[in-house]
Amino acid sequence: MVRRVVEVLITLFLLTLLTYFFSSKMPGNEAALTCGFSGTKCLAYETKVLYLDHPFFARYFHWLSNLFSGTLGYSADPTQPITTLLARSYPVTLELVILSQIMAVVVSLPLAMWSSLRPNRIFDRLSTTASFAALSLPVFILGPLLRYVFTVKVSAFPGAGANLPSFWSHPISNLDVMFLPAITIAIPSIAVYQRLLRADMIATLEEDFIVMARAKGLTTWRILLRHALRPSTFTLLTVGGIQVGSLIVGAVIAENVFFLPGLGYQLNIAVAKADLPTIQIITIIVAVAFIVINRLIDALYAVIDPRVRRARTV
Amino acid sequence: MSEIDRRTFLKGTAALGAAGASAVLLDACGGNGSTSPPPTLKKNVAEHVGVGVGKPKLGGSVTFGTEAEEAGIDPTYAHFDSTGVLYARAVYDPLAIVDFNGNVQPYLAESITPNSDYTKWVITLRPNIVFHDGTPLDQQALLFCMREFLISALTNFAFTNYMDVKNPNKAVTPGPGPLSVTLNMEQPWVPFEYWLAGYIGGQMAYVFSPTAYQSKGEAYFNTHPVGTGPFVFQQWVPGSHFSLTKNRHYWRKDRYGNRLPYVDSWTYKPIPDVDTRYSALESGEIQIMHTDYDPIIQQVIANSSLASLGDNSLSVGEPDIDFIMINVADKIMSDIDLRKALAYGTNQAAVCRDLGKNITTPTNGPFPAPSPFHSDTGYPQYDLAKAKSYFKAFLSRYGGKQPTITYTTTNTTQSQADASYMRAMWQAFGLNVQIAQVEQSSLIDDALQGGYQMFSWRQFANVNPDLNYIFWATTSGPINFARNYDPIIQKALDTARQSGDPSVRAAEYEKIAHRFAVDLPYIYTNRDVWYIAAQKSIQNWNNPTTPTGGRGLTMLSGIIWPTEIWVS
Repeated sequence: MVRRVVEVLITLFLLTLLTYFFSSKMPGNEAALTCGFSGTKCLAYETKVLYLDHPFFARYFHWLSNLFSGTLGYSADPTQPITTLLARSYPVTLELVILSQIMAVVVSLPLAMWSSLRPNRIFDRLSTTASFAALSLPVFILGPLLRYVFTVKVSAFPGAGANLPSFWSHPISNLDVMFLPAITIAIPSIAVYQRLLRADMIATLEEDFIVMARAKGLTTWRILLRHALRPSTFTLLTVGGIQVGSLIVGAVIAENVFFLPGLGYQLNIAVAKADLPTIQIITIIVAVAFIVINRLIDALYAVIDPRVRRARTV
Repeated sequence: MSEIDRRTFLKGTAALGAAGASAVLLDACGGNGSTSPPPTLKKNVAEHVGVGVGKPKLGGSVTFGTEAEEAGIDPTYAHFDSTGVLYARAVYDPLAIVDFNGNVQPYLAESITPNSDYTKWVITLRPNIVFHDGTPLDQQALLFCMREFLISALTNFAFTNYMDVKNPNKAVTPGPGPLSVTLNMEQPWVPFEYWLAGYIGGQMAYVFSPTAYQSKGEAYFNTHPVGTGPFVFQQWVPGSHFSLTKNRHYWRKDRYGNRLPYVDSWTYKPIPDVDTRYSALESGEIQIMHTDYDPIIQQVIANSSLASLGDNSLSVGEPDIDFIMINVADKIMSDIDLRKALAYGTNQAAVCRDLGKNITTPTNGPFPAPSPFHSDTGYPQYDLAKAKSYFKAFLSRYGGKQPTITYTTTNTTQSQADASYMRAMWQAFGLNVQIAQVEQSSLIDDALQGGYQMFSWRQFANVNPDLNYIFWATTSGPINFARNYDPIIQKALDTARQSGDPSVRAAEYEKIAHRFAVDLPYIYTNRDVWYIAAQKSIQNWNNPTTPTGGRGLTMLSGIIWPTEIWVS
């Protein structure tokens, strides 16, 4: 456990160092961004405040200490605290990603189970074809397509730029706005999960303990849900963790296509403005999310499979 | 090429000006219009579009989709482009308005009056108007605002050579009346009143609350504006929305006695991606939008469920021009052979056909026909052989190896496609450019700071070319984005500014256009066309009125007035 925590801390340290290093190589600097057209006095002041006249590591540790103390600084044009920006945009992206993954799991699981039960039959072939079609459709095509069909041609959902109410105060309206962006990200995930789970379940269903379960007269669905599903989810979990990166990319695209002011949308703006403080913080958040989720998945292996648990205790 | 960035940042305020018969001074008298007739006047081909039908309805809300987000809304600090002027017209009032015929009429001011030689301008405010914070719009407020504009690091350039920006107390003085201030010029400034109409470049037209400005600091005011305008600022979530509610104490009423504005709430949504913006309009999430992206304009025109109008049906003035702006102070770009190669190697007809969808037209300068300032400028016509020859001469100074040249545009997929098209066109004569994309407001910052080589740019729309003075003058420092400091241009600008004779003005502006064709700081691609597209329930979006009831100037550069729009 301690070893894992140390690993995570080292990873995080390297992550912040690399993020700061690469962003410091971008054109422009924070002082110029903050001051805009305010002149040299402002530039001199901000340069001092932001340690920009210090060597790289002094700047880095100054930035890191600010990061840990929650002093995240300001984004530029217009100047606003990054904490405000994050408080506004982070929940949007978090909800979008969670919702898309719920959709992906809810759809892919039954599809995969049914396909694995009767492999190479008509349903399996249809779902396989649909999966490949979904995989071959990039999000930047899928998003505008869904937007056009379901908000312009058929007014089934609110269009791009719809006001997004809080989920906690207006859950129905919120989900109404979120549905299309979420399904845009979910569709490729559905295809991936369906393909992986199907393959794993076909293998699992060949195992002796499944033959034994059948011999005991258990129903098909009971066998699938109670005995076959859990051992078939390892690959799914692993890929689910790795998928976090793709999901963030998907969120950046979906938020821009549907004009949702989440982290992805803000990141897009920040990159275009060379708004270094915002880019740094959002990069850190995404990377930390990636690390934490993958560590959680590591932990989940042990919960799902007693063999892993035993192996770790030995 | 549209949608290329261009934030015309401080671009000229509106209206045209100059005095017809020189010095016949219409002494004061509020509401009696500009002191000289406009030189440009052509028939509006679609006067009925965007004009409300029937009696106005009160209530409702409108969301306007804009092409970009602003970096601020403090008129002394933020650089307003088309979107900035839209924001400003909602929360502030300009001192003047340009009418349909191109004359300046007082707006927040009751009168705007020059002395006989145009070296003093007296602005007298309307009485009994208050800012949204309840403080009065009075002489002290106007004094404060005008002096802040004079000393602002940004807006002071607009007054350079003509007012003592280092001594604001001397340049702007109280009186002669209790609601008046006098602007003391150092030289005659005949069309000065056009700067008070609040178009791009004329930010000094927007009067703001000194109390709000000083109470929480300028940075706060930059995102929490307080003016006298038709709408009261509510919330600004940058990148998401800028929302306002009706000013229930607004000073203007319509001819039926209704207090303006008509709608209860007004929101701007910056949606840089034009496909997304148009989709939002089609699905009803926004009700009105502007664009100058020609493929979308094509769709807008074909969409019978929308009302739309372009500024190619302008009643007065010159439109925006799309061009490649060159930083002539850059070591590489200062090479005239390279600029000549670019000019000869840019096929405007092809650009208008392929990118402009034949909506846009070629241009040989900042004054396309039928402007009274239009002439044969001698601007290079497309000639690939000449382009190759000049490029070869340029390369010879670099040992035959081209140095890295970066062409910067805005951060939309449309701009990327347009930039790729231009790159391919220039490759025909041997030039290879790197394409960089930045957000539109950053583009202006970069232009100000001079850290660029080639920008895709859009600028110069105005009703009076004097409003482009700061962008072309040798004394404007960084506001002359191209850094093209040509003394002949400076002399012509001053002569035109100080003359009330239309023929003198025309000759001087022709001279300026000709010098641009020699200096080549701007590689023209086309005359730009802006469109407004609105759902049919949105009424009266192209029918602003002056306080005395006359018709105001219709849409220019995608800028309209929110005050008299209603929802049917």
